[in-house]
Amino acid sequence: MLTEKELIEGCCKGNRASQKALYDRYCRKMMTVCLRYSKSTAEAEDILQEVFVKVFNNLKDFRQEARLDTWITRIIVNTALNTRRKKLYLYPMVDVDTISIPDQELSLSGVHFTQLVEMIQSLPHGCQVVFNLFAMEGYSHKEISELLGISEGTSKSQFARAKSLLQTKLLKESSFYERYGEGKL
Amino acid sequence: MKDMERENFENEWKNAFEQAEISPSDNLWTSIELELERAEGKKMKRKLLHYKFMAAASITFALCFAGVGFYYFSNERRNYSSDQLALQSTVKNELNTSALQSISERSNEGQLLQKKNEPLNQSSQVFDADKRADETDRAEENHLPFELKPNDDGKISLPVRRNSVGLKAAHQIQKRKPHDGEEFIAETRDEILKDKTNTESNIFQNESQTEKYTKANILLSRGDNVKSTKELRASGKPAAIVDLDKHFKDNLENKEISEQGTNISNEPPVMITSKLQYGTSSKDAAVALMRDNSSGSDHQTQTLTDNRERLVTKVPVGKLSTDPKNLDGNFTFRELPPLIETPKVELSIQKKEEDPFKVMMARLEKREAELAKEDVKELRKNTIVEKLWTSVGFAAGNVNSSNSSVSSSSGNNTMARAGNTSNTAINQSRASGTSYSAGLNVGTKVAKRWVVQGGLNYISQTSAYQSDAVVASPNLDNFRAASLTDVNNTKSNTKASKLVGTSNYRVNNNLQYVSVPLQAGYIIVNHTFAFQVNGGISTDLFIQNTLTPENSNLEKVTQRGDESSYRPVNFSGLFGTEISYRFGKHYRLALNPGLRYPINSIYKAGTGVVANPVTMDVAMRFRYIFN
Repeated sequence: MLTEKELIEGCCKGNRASQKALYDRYCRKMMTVCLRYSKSTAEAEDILQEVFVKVFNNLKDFRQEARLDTWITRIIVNTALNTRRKKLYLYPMVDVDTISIPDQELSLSGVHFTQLVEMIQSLPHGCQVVFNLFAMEGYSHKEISELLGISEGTSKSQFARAKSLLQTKLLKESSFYERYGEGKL
Repeated sequence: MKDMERENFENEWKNAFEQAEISPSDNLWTSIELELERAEGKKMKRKLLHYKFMAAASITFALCFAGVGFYYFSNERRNYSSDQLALQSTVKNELNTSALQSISERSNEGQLLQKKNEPLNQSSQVFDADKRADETDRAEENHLPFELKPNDDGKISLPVRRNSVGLKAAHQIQKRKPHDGEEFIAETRDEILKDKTNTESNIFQNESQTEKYTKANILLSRGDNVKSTKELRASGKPAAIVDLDKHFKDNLENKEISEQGTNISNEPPVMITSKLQYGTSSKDAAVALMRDNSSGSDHQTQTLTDNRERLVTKVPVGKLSTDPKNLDGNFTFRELPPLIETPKVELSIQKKEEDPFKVMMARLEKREAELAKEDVKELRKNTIVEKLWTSVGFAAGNVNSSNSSVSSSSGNNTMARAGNTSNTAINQSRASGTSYSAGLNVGTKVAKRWVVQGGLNYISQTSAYQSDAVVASPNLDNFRAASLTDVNNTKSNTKASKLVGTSNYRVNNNLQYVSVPLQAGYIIVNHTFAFQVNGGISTDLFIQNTLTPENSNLEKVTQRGDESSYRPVNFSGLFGTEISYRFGKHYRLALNPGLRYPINSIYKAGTGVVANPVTMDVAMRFRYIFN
């Protein structure tokens, strides 16, 4: 099995086998990331395809200071944002009213990640992006505001809304399972 | 607390996706691969384009460079050629005009080796060919002709090349006796080396073999065929001077090295001599003197800076041939090698084997061309140009003389004397009738739309009028119709006959002319159907007129010439049109309505009648076209 360095070298030389190997190593994880930023599988695959083309074309610029998957994730985020930027423009994010977050603490342990992906995909565009950036990627609200061209308050409110919605969905899920007696996944 | 809850929330979500993996569809890699291939293809295209540009730029640069080089090179060659021509012409001119008589020596060049106080019993010729050769070389470099400057004595120094054949041929090593000017001759290298018997002339005494050999070569380097003084005298060729001072250091008395030294090296010679004095030493320098057979040399003694004396001798060398290539005398020019050796290009045309198919195609093409020419000729032949034609025609029309007038001073006086008033003249002059003509015409096309035609026509005009007079014979047996002439002419009223008034009776007057028309026509429509406008003039020659009374008791009268009252020659203006139709290659049928108007009165001046009858007719002409 080739090391990451060897793979990178092979990819830089244009070795198709190395590229395939790199793709196989990271495509599944990156697909999940793409699903979080998209509304459908097809959209996610489009983003993934675009991302890997960019990765192979610009791999020579990778300085190997960070991990490769982190670097690819950053590319996915940027690509997804560029793709969604039009939609974000169409649906401008504004401060939402104070949102009430359920007091009940809900656990995600019984929920499969595919369901979580569906829940994220069901969020509004702005909420989805902010939630992904803040909760999943670890951006601060300030960075998010700069990245998306919104105010910090908008970023916070959008995240709060996303959180509220997700928790509501989680609540529904858990109560559904309780009602019908099906085991949690 | 709330912050911690929020952080737990975010962490839970983050942790939930930590190990999450979903496989994309299988054809995603294919799509990615296609994209990569496309991107690489674009890169290759860009690279290829880049290389193409580089290649084009290189070729362009090379072509420009070649063009500039060619231009520069051809200019140089042109300059060289023109300079060479100038050089040859200059040399020729100089040789032709000056007829070189002598070779003069410059005062600061050359030295004559001469034994001190020894009379110079023979004229010697000295020149520093080395310097001259330098000048020659420089002149060659600068593409300048040789400088043939006359010296003070008017003699021109001949330029000599460093390795001149003439120079070699002119070399002679002269034997000189050390005591009394004995000459030394070295004929061959071996002789030089072997010449040990004569100690007085053994110049190689005590020299090593190498040195001897070197010296012998030096001697010989001045000329391959070194001959004896006697032989040279016989041939008239001068000898050259060789300076061997450097090689004769020992056993030479009063040796003085020339201030210019020698040119003894691997380079070919020339001569600078030194003044050597011969003592009683058995060795002496081998000195060659330039000698010739002519006399009358000029000697000059020059004192050098180191108080040495130098003898400069100018001698005539004899006439030189005007042909610089083959001088009759001392020197022979040889042609300068071309600066630029042009490679000989031999063109050889390889005979190719004839391809039978190509030969056949060529023949077919040739045949087609011939057929095309024939077609053109045929077309031209078939094309009717109607350059020359002839036509026969018939015309019919009417004559109208209503514009005629009769003067009061006419011959009616006769009738007045007769007691009768005759209106014959008036009626006759104003009679209208018909006109018939027939004739032959010839025409030709002088321009695309202009034709000229002429012919010969016979015109007969008949008119009827009422007459009220007859001419009776003297015995009153015969009566004839009275004409205008009879009315106006007193002759008719002679004793032989006289004019008698009668009741009106009808008379037919028939005039006959021969008309020679000349017309120009302008073709308006020139096709099978043609339309043409004609205009011209005709000369009408009167033939006769016949008066035929309708009354059978009266005789008709035919009048010609002086008997007639009509002008013998009349001119008429013609105007008409022509509508024609061509049928066949040579035929055209034409309809010519026309008008004829006599310019002058058709009656003689003495008749007192002025009549210009207008004839309007329509002619039908049948034309035959020659070409």
